[in-house]
Amino acid sequence: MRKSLVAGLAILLASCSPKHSVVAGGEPNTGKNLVGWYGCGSCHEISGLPEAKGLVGPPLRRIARRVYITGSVPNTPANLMHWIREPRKVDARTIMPDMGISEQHGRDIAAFLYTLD
Amino acid sequence: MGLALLTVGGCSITGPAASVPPPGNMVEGNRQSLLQPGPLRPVRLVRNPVAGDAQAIQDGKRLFNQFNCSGCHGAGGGAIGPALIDDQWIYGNSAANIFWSIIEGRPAGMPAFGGKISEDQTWKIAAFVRSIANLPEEVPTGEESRGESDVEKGKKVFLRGSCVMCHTVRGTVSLSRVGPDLTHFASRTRIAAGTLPNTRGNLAGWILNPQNLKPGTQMPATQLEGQELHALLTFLESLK
Repeated sequence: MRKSLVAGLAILLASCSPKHSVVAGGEPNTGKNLVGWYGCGSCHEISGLPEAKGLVGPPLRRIARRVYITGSVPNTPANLMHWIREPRKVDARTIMPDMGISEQHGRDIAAFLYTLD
Repeated sequence: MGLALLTVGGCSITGPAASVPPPGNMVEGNRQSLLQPGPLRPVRLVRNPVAGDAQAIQDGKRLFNQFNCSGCHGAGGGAIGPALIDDQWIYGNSAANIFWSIIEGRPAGMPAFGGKISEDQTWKIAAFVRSIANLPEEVPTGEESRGESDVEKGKKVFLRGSCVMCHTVRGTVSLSRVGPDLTHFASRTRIAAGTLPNTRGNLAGWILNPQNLKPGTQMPATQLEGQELHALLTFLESLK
């Protein structure tokens, strides 16, 4: 009885925070700091980050619910990470610059973007 | 019937050079300055756009005679002017070298054909001259494939664009005092009058839309292609 309660609670908790499971190994809070550090907000409005008010690229919100990203590729964690790290390899004509983002940082930033309302 | 004859007549180019209006873009002379009036123009490619095209070489042969190159160079063996089939090239034997020798002229006799011949015709003659000299087909040496680094490309973007109107980068022609001196830009920790950390992302946003990040700033927005922006960022990051 008690055991099943704990299990039920665990499932409930897990369903409350699906964000952590979207990008394996990605830490959204770290990603949030990295987004600030790399300066994503100079080009993007980002929901929940008042200082991110850029009007060069599209606003970043509800990323997890989008079907496509970058205007061309399906919204999967792998595609999003690739786009964050090497946008010019995904779309040679994009204005979004490669910023030398490491694999782990890409993971963290993608994890954060998938939490945006 | 008369109309048909006229049409046929208009297609055959047999007259002397002077009677043939050069089709296509006129070629301008040698530029001494990077500054230019009016909107930006694309950087000229230095590779021969007709390289390896057998028809272009045939056309070049015809043009070689039509523009009376043969008057001085003979059939390539030289006469008044130097031979073109030996391995001596005073001004270089790349298609681009030959192109500019034709357009600009060279001391001691070679007239400048700039303004008298189209770009396309000049490249065809260059291709023909290389063919009679038995020179191997050139590996394309255009701007994009010459192995030019992003720093060099970015410097061109900087100098071609509006950046030079306001900023100084010592060691270049950019010496304006309206905006901040960028000579040691990469050593700065902050940009946009101290409002943003000097990171690539912030720099990109600042260049593309400064008014949004700092309303009232004198810095105007700059429109760039993705590759131009990337090269420009790389150039600015090299200014240690």
